Amino acid sequence: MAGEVTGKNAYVAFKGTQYSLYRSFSPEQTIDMVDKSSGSDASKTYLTTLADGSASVELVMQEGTAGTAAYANLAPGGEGTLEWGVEGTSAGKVRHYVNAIVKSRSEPFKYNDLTLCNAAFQYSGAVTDGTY
Amino acid sequence: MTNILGAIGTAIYGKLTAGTALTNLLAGTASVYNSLAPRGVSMPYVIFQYQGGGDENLCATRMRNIVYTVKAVSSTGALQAANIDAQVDALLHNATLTVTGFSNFWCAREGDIDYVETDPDAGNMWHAGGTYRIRLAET
Repeated sequence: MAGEVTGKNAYVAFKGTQYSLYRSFSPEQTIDMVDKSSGSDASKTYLTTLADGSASVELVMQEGTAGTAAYANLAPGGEGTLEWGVEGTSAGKVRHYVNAIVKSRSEPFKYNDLTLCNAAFQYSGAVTDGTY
Repeated sequence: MTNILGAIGTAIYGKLTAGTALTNLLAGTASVYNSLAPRGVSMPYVIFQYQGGGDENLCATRMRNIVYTVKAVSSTGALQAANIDAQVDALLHNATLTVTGFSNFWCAREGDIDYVETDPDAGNMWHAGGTYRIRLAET
């Protein structure tokens, strides 16, 4: 079992606020492409153009000021550094960060379950990959 | 690790014995027992016991999701047991328990219990109660 990674030690933060009560975090990177196939080509071929990306997070909401602050930090339109390290922040662990804008947030709640907060981020810049 | 089951037991005992509408129906104001009543003790009484559950492990905060059985035991009849159960329900369903080290964000009845058994010494014993799901987050 050595070497496998879970999310239990992960670090997720936006604009300097760590979201330790995250339940899931899903970063995604994509790249736009243009079709360059022509003439008698039998298969499509592509050119890569601009990199893009997005992420989403799901949090357990806390009562009181902690929950209010976490929610306020995810206001749509807010822009700042989105950072994550799936193995935590110990020296040598993988670190990713990118400038990102909050595209949406929601706070679904059920009568018989915890209240959650979901937020979606649009990257606005290049992802930097490094280590702590 | 916190003795969470002990803390929940203390919370349930405290909640039930503080309810005079309940204890007025019991053999005594402290006729509430964890898991097993002493042999020969006067009826009616209330028994509560751990039924199942444990850690949720869904986020970094430690959360517990535990089910307890809480039931009345009567030697008089089903109606007395049911009346006691109604008072237990009034105290526990959608209530907030005071559990040391945790906040209780959910406590609700899920199942019903209703049966009779015959004990060689005590005769007929009517049981009425329910199962209660208790969810806690570490503070």
